[in-house]
Amino acid sequence: MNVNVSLSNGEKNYIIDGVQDGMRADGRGHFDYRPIFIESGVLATTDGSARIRIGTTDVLVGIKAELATVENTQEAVNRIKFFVDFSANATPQFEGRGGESYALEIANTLYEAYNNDNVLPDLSKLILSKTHMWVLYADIVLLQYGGNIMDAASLGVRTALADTKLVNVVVRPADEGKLMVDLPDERKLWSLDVSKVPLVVEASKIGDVSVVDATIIEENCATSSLFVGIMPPECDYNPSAPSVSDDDCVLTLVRKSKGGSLELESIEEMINTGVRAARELNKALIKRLNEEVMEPYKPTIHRSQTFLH
Amino acid sequence: MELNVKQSGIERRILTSTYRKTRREKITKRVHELYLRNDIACGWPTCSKCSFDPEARTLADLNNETRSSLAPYKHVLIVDAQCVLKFIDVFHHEVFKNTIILQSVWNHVKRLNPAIYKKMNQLYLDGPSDYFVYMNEFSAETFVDTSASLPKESDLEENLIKAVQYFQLHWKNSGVRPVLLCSSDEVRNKIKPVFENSFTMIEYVKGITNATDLYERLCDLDSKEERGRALFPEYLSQDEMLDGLARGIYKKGSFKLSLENYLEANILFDDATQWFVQGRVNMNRAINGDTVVAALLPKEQWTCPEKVIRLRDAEEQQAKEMLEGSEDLHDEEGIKAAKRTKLEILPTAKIVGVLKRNWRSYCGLILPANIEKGKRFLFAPSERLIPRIRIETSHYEELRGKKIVVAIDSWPRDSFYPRGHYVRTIGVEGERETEDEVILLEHEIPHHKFPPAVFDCLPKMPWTPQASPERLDMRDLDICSVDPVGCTDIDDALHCKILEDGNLEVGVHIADVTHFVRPDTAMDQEAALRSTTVYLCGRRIDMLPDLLSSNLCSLRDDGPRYAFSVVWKLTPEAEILNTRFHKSLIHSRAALTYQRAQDLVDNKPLEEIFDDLVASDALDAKKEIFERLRISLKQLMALSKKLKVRRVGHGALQLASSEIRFDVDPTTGTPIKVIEKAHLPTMSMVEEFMLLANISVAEKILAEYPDCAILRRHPVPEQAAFKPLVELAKACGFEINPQDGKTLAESLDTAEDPKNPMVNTMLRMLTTRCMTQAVYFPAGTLPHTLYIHYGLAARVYTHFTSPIRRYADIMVHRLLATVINADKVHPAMLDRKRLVKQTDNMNYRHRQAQYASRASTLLNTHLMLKANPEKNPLDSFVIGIRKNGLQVMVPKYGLETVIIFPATLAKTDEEVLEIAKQYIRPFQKVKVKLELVEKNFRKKIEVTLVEPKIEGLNTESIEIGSIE
Repeated sequence: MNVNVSLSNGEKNYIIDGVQDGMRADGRGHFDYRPIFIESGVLATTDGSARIRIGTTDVLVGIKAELATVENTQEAVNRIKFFVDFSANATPQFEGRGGESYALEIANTLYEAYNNDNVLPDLSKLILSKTHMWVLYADIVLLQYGGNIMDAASLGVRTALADTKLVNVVVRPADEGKLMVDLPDERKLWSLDVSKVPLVVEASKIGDVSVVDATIIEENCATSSLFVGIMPPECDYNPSAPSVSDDDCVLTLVRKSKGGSLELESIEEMINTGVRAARELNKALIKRLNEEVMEPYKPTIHRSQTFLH
Repeated sequence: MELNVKQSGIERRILTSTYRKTRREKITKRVHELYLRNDIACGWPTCSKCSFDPEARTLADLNNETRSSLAPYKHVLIVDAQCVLKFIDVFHHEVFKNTIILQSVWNHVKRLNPAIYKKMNQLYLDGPSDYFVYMNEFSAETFVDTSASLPKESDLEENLIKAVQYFQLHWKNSGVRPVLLCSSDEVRNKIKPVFENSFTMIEYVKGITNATDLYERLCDLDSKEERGRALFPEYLSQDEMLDGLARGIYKKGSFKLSLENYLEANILFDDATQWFVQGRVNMNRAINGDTVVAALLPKEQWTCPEKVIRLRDAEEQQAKEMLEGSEDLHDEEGIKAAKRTKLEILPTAKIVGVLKRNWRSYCGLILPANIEKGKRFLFAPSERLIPRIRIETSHYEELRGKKIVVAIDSWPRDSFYPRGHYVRTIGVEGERETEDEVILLEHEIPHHKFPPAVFDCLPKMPWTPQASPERLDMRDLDICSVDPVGCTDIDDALHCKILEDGNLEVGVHIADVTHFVRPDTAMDQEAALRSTTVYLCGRRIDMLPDLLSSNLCSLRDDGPRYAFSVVWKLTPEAEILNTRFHKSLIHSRAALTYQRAQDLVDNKPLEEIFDDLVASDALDAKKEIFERLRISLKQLMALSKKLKVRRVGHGALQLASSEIRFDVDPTTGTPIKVIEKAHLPTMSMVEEFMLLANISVAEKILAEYPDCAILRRHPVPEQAAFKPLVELAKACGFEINPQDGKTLAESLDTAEDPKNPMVNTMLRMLTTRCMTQAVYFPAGTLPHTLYIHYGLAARVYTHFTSPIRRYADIMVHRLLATVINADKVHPAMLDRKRLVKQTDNMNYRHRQAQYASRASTLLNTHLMLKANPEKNPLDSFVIGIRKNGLQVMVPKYGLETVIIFPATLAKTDEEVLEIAKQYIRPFQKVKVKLELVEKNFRKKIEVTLVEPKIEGLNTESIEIGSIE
């Protein structure tokens, strides 16, 4: 999927040749990100929220926990539900239902990346009783399109999950053998353990090299791209854990996006690019989030910037 | 970038979030914006840092440097929430003037205890400069963020500390200091390190010279519970109870103590079933009216009522008062279950927990202590169903012989009695005013003066009714009212006119109260709260202000009045041809008494009837009118008899009640004479037309408002409820058939004993007790089959005819007025939720008013016996036989008492009592002697059996009260 920009052949060749020579049109190298801005806790009415800007791309993520009653929680699907909405303000092409299929692809990709029991072990804590469970919804709104939505969305979800606070509830028996959920007298909030939450990075194939964080123009020049999701290895957040090489990282997702075919070697190379970028991104994010935790009460809005070099 | 335009004293904005459960069982998060301010005045009148609104309430600049030795400087008090909760009853003392109540304390009290909150609020409103509320939760300097997950108690403390520290700093140069009063040593010790001027309330008061009274009172309120041997089983935790209820192991119901035996009770459940509870341990500290959770006992422990009369007074007399400290549940052993035949045993339960306490403040007397100079006393509530309450006081001598109010605080497991504290004194026991006040308080009857807002709703005097096109002018009709002697609130008047076609026009004219009482005005709200006028002997507590009750609404004969009329066209056989409803203007020709109306019907000469008018020559002018009224009344009387025959034919019951009245000396208020109300045919006549009007109106409003008409129903009694009556009648050789209203009415008519005419009256009286009371309800809240009024055998019924003294009638008037397009619909008339609430209130008030009237009759019997002791034995009748006692009714005073024999002497098979070879049967006439005696400072009427005479018998008697 793509947002189309009108480019002449000359322009395209210039960009592709530049990338091939290790020099992108805006002056970045293959593995350089544009400046990333992260704010968490931006929407008070959600249970957790984040706003991510990468270059001109602007994404807002809100996490909502809703109490659901089901027949049997053992059989219910206990996964985060993703909804992606591409605002028409992001780019004129998204007007009407223009962004729908692209949005669906992002949502499906995130769902895939999160679709296992390891990345968010706290999901099991969301099951309250045989009939009651919390269901987490992640709503992702794209405010402005500037390329590389995937990275922004996955960073956003992860930051918002780290910001998510759920209220403690108790389960009490009600009439007719049913159960009911009640608030205890003393209010307690708890947070999810997000250390293993996956990050998804898009690696774009431009010419015969792969780059990260492609702009709109670069996306239009790419022949194909690959979404790579990794579960961050323990050593990236716990300094005392044994170090893990890129090759030993657990991938939770590899998914091809856009048309065009890819050779096996290309895929391998693109995965390597993705894993490397994702790990760097994750380390920077953890550093940033830790800084925020250490300074929890600031009268002004929390604001942090993350540059990835 | 944050951009703010701050024009008032906003310091910063914060977001706080709360979680709540919605009706649909979801948990939602709510976010509130809160603007913290820096311009909240501290309250000190001469503070240089704060600016004041000159109108605003401030603290007083008191010179209290020398008040308490603990704080030898000018100071302002700040109290913690526990102080308010524990000591609220002493806060009116002047020592506590100049006290700051923090907003956080205020809110905490409000959340925790509505009753105490009400007192605190009143205290605040009463003393404009005594108390000051500081909005600490809005002040930037004192705000404590409670959205972090902290337990509530420490929140409160943190709030306190922050506030006192702020005041300390803020008043540095003002020459005044804050002093924090804590409820307990623990709190004081916790806060003292961070704020030096913290004391406990008791310490502070101890340091005041000349305040030993207050000090002792505080100590009484504060007294710690010492743990002793647990006498009662532990209550289950809330969770355990809820869990058990959910799994069906326990049941939730309302606890009702037996009227005859204070060690027996029933738990009534919503599904109309009940469990039986016996003994103190099984009752486990439940008090009459509590909502309890109970567990069924194993079947082999099921038992049945003892059929023994046990009343607290007598038992404790015999047990010679338990000594303090040696209390035990020894009377448990006294219960010997009656022969447990398989038929008799009932599902028996024990109480495992109390969900909701029904505690209120109780009036009563303090009992003398067993230990000299002790501080702990027992308090005996006036209400028999409430246990004795233990209180601590150092002022026994002052409280002795006074009626006092006591509130229950708790009932610990190791205490035989609940613990309470003294609230206030009403007055000397036995004095009329005190006792009237007690009756009103005990029955929770609102009897405060009408507030000024109510008087503002009254029309400006002089006011006269005006003819208007909407009102039918009926001033030309010969209307008259018939009421008891001395009645000033005349609700209803009647007329009857012969039409040219031989039919009759009959009108019932009811005071048009709703013309004055408009919906949702202050007067309407007050009337809705009171719901009924309460009649005590010699005193009336009006529902509406006197100007309306006795003048503007009252259908007197001194001028035109607005009325709401029901006019029928009837055949001479009393068949209704048509019914019309009008707002009207009438002029009553005469306000007759029942006796005078009767005399008119009986063709007595006018000179004899109106002897008071003869002297002043006023009679001549009115002679013609009276003669016309005589004709009308005769026709009304004839019609009413036909109506009654038809009604009785449909199965309406005629029930008896003993009605007595006291002739009260208007100057001293003491009763001089007791009069049994004579029954006159004119009473039935008026009643018959009122019933007819009510039924006509009920049908009309139900047709128009099937969802919100206010109706009155009388439930069909369960057959089982008649069992005691049928058995008792059988024992005397009568057959009562309670199959339906008609058979019951017929069998009651035939149950006559030629030798004892009282038998029939007593049977009718006992029949009343088998039935539940009639209640108001909004139509549409019940299936149609339940609308029926059993006693009157009416398909639908309502109250329309007494709007001056009943609120239900006002509601019905409003509905009917809209039906005939005489008034607009007010939204409150259609609001189902409000209607249900209002009808519940009316039913409650109505019942309480009845009980209060009865209590008042009993009180007057006391006063009467005190003034004129009854020297001769009185006739009375046995209306029930128990294993160890006789239920006796004394018709002269409408008094019902129980005479208890020592259980060893009497033998009974419940039909015949054999005692010292004398046999006593139900309904037998016996002679008793009434005497006012005093025991334990309680006055009561002692009834002793004189005939048949039983030798060597030492009896006790218990007054049950005057009967319905």
